[in-house]
Amino acid sequence: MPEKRVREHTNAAEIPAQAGGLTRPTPAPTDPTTRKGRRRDEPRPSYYDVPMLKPPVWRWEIASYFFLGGLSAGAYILARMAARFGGKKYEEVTDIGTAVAATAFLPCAPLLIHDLGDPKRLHYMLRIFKPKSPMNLGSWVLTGYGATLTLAALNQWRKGSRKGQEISAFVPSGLVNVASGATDIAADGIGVPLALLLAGYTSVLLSTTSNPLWTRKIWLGAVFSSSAIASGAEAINLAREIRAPAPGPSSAGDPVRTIAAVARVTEAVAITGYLKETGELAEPITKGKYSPLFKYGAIGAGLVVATACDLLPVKNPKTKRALRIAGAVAGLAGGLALRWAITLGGHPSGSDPAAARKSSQPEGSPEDESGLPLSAEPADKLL
Amino acid sequence: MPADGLNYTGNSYDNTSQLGATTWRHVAFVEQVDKTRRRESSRWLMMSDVCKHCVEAPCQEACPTGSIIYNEFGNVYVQPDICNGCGYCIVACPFGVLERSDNDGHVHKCTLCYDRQKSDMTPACAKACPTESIQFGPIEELRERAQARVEALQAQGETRAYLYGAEATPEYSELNAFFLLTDHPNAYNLPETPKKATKGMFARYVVSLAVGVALTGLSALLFARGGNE
Repeated sequence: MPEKRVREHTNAAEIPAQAGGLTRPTPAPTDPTTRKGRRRDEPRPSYYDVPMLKPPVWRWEIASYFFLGGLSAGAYILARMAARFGGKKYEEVTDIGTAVAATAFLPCAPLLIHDLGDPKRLHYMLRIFKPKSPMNLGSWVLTGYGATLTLAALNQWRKGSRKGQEISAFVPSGLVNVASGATDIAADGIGVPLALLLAGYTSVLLSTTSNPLWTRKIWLGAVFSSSAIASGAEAINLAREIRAPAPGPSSAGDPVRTIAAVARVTEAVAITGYLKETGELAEPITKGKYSPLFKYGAIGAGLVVATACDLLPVKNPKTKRALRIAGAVAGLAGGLALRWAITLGGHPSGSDPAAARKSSQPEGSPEDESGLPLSAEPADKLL
Repeated sequence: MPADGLNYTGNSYDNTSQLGATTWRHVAFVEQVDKTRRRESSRWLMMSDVCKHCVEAPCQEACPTGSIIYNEFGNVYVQPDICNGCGYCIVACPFGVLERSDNDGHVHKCTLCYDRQKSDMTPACAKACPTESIQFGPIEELRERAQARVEALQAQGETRAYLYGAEATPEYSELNAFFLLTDHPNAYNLPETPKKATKGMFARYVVSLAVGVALTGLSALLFARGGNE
C-alpha cells in the first residue's frame, strides 16, 4: 500500500504589506461598524449580489415525483390497514387503494430518470448502500417498496379478478394460500414501514441541504408525511366516487374520509410550523413567484376547498357526490401544488445571496461575538 | 474543459463571478471605494476562491452513488465515470461550489489536480501563482505558516487579518483549502458560518415517521371500529 501523503494547500488572499495609507484605525469595540456588539439584523456586506449558493437543478419532475411517491405510499398504507384491520367491509378500500398506489407508482422511476443529468445511470443509485445520504436511502426504499407493492397488487388481482382465479386454479390451493398469506405478511410488515419512509424521506432529502428554504427544517417532515396520507386518502375517495354506480351512503364514519380530514388538519398545523421556523426565508413561497402556487394551490385548494366540500351540509345525493369529487380533486391538486411550491421555491431561495447570508449566520445570541472584522459599509453601498 | 465565454459583470475586475462546472478557481475582487474620496480608507480585496475540500464534506455525504470520495491525498474528488447527475451535492454544498455541466450532465469541481498530485507535482494553481498567494503543502505546515502570516500582518497594523476555515467550528469541519481574509466572510461571498445540514437529520426522520405512524395508527383504529360494526 502506498504511503499516504497528506498534501493540502492553503490559499491566502493577502493584501500587500502595509505601507502607509492602506489601514484604517481599529475602531473602538462599541463602534457600530465593528462586528463585536453588532446587532444581528444589521446588513452584512455582500459580494455584488452574486449568488453565494447554487440553486437546485430539480424541476417539475422531482416535484411531481415527491407528490406521486407520497400519494402512492399514502394509498398503500390505507389499503393495507383496511385489509389487516377492516375485514370484509373494507375490501373495496384495499382493492382501490392498491390499484391507486400502483398507478401513482408507475411514473415515479421515469420522472426520476428524466431529471438525471445522465439518464442511463439511474441504477448507479444502488451501487452502494449509504443510509447517511437521504437520496441513497430513498432509492433503496423506493426499490423495496416497488417490489412489495407489486406483490401486493398481484395478490389483490388474483383474489379479485376471474382471470386471476383461473390462473391460480392451476396451482394447488394449499400452496396458493401459503403464498397469499406470506405476501400479506410482507405487504404489511415490510411494505408499510417502507411506505412510511417513502412518504417522509423526501422531506429529509430537502432539509439535509444548504438551501435556505429547506435547510434543517424539522416541520417539513410533518408537512410531507401528512400531505402524503391526505393525498392517498383523497385519491382512494375519488376512485370510489367515480366507480360507484350510485352516490354513496353518508360520509359520516367512513375511515378514509375521516383520515383525509385529520391529515389535512395535521398538514395545516405542520405548514404553520414550517412557515414559522423558516421565517422570512420562506419568502420565495409566501411572496415570490411561487406564492400563488403555495397560497391558492397548497393552502386554498388543498386545505380550504377540500375541507369545505367535506363539511357543506348538502342533502341532494347528486350534489353531494359532485362535491365529494370536487373536494378530492382539490385536495389532490393541493398536494401537487405543495410539492411544486416547496421544491421549485428552492430556485429563487438558492439564487438569493441575501437569503444565503442570513441562513449562514450563527445561531444563538442576538449579539455577534465572533469577533471577525467587518467593513464599515457593505461593499455595494460604497460603490 | 469548455470555455466559460466572455462575460462582463460590471461589478469589479472579477468577470468570472463564481465557481462552477467549468470554473474551478476564481478570484473574488472587492473594490471598497470610499465615496468621500479619502484614499486611505479605500482598498482592494482579492480572494482566490476554490473548492474548500472540507474535511467532512457535505457533498460527499450527500452523494447517493458514491461518486464523490476522499482520495488518497484527502481531497474531495468527483469520479466522473460514476456521477449520474442527480444534483444532490449541488444543494448540499454550503459554498455553492459544485455545478452540473450541460455538456455531459455530470457534476464537476476542482480536483485539486488529482492527476498532477499522483505524479508528485504541485497543483497547477499553486505552481502558477507568482506571488505565492496560493500555497500547497502538508496541511499542518500550511496552518502554521498561515498563522505566522496573520501574526505578521497584525503586527504590521492590519488588525483585521484572520484565517477562515483553518479550524473546525461547532457547526463545521476544518477546510483543507482555507483562506486569509481581512474582511467579513460575506464580503468575499463566503458564508459567515458554514453549517452542516446533516445535523439533526435523524430527528427529522423521526418527526416525519412519527406523523406517518400516528395517521396510520388512527386509520387502523377507524377500520377496526368500522369493520366490527
